[in-house]
Amino acid sequence: MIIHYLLTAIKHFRTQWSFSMINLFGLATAMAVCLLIVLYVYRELSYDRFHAEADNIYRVSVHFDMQDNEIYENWTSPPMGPDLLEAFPEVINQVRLSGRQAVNLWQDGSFRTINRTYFADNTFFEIFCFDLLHGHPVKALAEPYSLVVTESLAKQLFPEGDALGKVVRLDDGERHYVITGVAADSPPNSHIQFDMLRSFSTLMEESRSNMTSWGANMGFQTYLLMAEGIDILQFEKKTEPLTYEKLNYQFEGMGVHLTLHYFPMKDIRLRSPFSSEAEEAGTIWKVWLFSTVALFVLFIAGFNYVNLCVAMSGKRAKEIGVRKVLGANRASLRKQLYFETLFFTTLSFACAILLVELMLPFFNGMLNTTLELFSMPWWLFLFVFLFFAGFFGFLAGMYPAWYMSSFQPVKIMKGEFWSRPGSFQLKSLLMFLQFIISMALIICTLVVFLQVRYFYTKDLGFEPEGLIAVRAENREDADLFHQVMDAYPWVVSKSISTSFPIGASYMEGILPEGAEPGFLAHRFWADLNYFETLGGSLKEGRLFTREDGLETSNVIVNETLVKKAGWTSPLGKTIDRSGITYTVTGVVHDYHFRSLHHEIEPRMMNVLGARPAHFTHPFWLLIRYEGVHGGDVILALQEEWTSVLPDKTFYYTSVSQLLDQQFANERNFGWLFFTFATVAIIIAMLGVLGLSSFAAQKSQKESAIRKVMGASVRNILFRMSGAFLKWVVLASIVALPLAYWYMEKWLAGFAYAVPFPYWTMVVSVVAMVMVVLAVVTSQSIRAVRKNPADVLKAE
Amino acid sequence: MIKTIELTKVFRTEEVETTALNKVSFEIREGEFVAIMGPSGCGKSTLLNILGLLDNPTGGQYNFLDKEVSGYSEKQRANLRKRNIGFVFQNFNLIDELSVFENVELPLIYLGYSASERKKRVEEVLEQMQIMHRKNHFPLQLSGGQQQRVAVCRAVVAKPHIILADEPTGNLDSTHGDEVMNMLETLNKNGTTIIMVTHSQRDASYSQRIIRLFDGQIVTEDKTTEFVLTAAAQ
Repeated sequence: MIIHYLLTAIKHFRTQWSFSMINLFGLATAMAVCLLIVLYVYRELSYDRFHAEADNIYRVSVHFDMQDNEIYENWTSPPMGPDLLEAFPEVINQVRLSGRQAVNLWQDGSFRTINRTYFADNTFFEIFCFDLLHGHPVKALAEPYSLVVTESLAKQLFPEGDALGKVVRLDDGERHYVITGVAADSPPNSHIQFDMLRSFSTLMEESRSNMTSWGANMGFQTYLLMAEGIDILQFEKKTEPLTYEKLNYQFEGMGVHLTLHYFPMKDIRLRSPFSSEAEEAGTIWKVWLFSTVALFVLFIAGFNYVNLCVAMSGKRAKEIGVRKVLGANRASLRKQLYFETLFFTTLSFACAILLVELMLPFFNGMLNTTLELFSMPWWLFLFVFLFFAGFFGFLAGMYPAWYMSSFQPVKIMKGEFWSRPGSFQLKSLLMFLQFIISMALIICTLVVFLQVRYFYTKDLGFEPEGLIAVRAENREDADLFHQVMDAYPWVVSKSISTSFPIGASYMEGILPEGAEPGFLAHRFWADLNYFETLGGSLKEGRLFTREDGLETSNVIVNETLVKKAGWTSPLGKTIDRSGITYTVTGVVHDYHFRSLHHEIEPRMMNVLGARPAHFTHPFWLLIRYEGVHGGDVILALQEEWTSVLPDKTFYYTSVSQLLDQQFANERNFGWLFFTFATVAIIIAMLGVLGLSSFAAQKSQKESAIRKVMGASVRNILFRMSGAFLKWVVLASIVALPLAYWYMEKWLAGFAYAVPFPYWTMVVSVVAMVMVVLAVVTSQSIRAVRKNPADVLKAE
Repeated sequence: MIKTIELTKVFRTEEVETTALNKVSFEIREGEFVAIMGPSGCGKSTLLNILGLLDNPTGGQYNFLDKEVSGYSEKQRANLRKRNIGFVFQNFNLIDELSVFENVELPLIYLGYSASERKKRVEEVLEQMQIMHRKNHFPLQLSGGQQQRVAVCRAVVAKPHIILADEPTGNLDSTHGDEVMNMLETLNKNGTTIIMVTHSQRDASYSQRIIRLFDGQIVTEDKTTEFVLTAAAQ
């Protein structure tokens, strides 16, 4: 019987080729899109879950509560972890990681730059489940000047031998490290990606800055392994007294309340509110949007399948009738029709796999991912297969099987098949739902697109083009390189500061005059040319004129700080910081010094000469160039750097490229969303194509009679299109508010967002009407143009 | 074999009630060849559908193989039908997507025969009806006569007790029509009961008895010879 079912299914596929292909294309494309999204969502949801203790690992963050403003920073100071471990039995272990650094590794007289390196405690491999292939998990990072490299890096460094025990030189080539461990490459679903880990004890030994105070050197990430079943909110409260004793007292009287928070590690990828993650984070909205699209695509494809099957049932009525006459009962017919659907969905799934393999490189390129179809766990693959081919097939096949098996042979033989009214009602309902989804998707796509475009076309308040930032570890190096840049005619302007133009910066509690109890502000130090080099603009007052003398007690602030302090005439106002008073001499227009995901916050700038000596953050040399190609500039800078500072790593960032990179993710996401939504709409329109073809066939007799009675082709086409268009109009009543509600919520998640563009609603309705008109007319015109005499004779 | 007592079929719509069969009573014995005749709309096909267990009457009794079946469910009717009745239609009703072999094989599939037995029986009957050489062809590749021959093969392959034929020559020329009627006659001679609805007196002459319907009622039940003579005298 199964073979008979299979042969029948194949025969039907062949004899109803065009309908079968429409259905197959729709289902396979929808499954491929869903499969891609499943891969993506699984990767996102699996982030950091491979650690055995993933549920109990928390990252310490600092919460600044400033009455009307809250800031979360994931940077902590070196003693926090060990102190928490010592003071609270709930903490089982802790590991500290430095910020990600690029270092030079010297080998055979030359060096290569290793980009992803961290200093890490020796508890790293105890707490995290990164595979240590060679070396002792606890001892590998215990001693100063010991390091662990990844397998890939080990192979690059020592292609013919074992890396373990080998000595390598880092930084200026004078520091010798012993390779004490080789770790497997970090899994792609880890928020910590490293090529090399150096022992934290090295840092403790080398550092000349304060490594024992909670309030200094907040440039580290601290992870805590907590005991099973700990209520983390209770623990937060429990650590408040220690936080106050160690840290909060510094902010007393400034209205700033500091607490430590413990952010679940497994949420870092999707829900991180922190701007300074080493890898891209906070992508839960992408997961939601893609999942919604996947669901929509699946619904649309399912509705299509049902509609096309029911539409095609007219052609199968005779077969069903004959089978019934010959002894088939409803159950056996239902079995046969289910089997056909399963055959179809299985075939579609196979095609979908091929499509996914073809689409993955494009998808990976767009989302900056490394997804592979067969890297999916077998159980997930099996689940997806059973879901698509089995469950989805069962659902999609249910109605057609029930519907077709209910045909009464007597009626079929009498030719009364077409008169069933119920079938068309269901088809209309499904089509109505498809129109709702399609129109909502058109609106969502346009809004996503506009928001993404807004992101990369928004005026940032400075000029990122032609701006390069070069990092220097100390003021001497910065000065030296600044000086040699004089020789280059294409350098229009240059400046030394402690601030990287785009990204998080140092924050301090300040007490502006008349704005008690104060608030937190980003603070940095820069020389006289900073704003000229940056391309920012002065709103009022003046910029710095010298680096010493009275100027060291002056400060330049941004508009947001003025607003927050409630000042109407800011010039001459004072800001108190830890007992030192600064006078505002200038106000600059707001500019985006962090990504557009963050609102502009208060910022103040002191002259570089006033920078405290103990300050350990690096210096940034900003260089604005003109008249040469950016690539040539970088080559020239690198050459110059190597000649004047041969032992130091040349680390640079092209500001426009960095912004491009940031925007590229959003832009690619926008394109991908557009692609998926277009696929969904095309599938929906294929359904309309099938249905209109069915309607045209069905109404041939009616059209012929109308023509005999004097109706023109246009009259009849208008009437046939109207049957579809009324559903478009009805669907718009549901789709428009639905899309508005969803996208308003989505836009609310951005610090800077476009206002909801109402015109997208009009566009979605007009586009849907146009497409439906085109599709219906194309299908109906042939049927309507037939000679009515021929049609009526055949009837 | 078949006995109806005051068999009635009424079709109802919202506004109209049409009596297609009005208290029809008759009996058909095993091995008979009976023709049902009458003008269009007299209820011939409705009667054949009820006799063939494709439809239920709205009143009266229908005894099939000594069982009262008028209240049978669709499933019970399908079960009884596939074991006992073969159908031949005016428009052949072959499934276009299936080959000759597959069309003839269908009833055996629903009866649960094994593949080897199906093959044996289908080939046997195709040989008998001299259409074996066309077994891999599709219906649309055959002439009308050949298609009806295939339909007869399909009707007899499960060796039913009774064959119901609805205007079996209605779509055929006289040569092919005679061919089909001869096949039915042979089957009847071999013991199969045949009930045939027809407009054609020529086809009716192959039967042993004619039931004539008018407005859903039996007006006469004649022996074929008498009928033919009466017709000739008129």
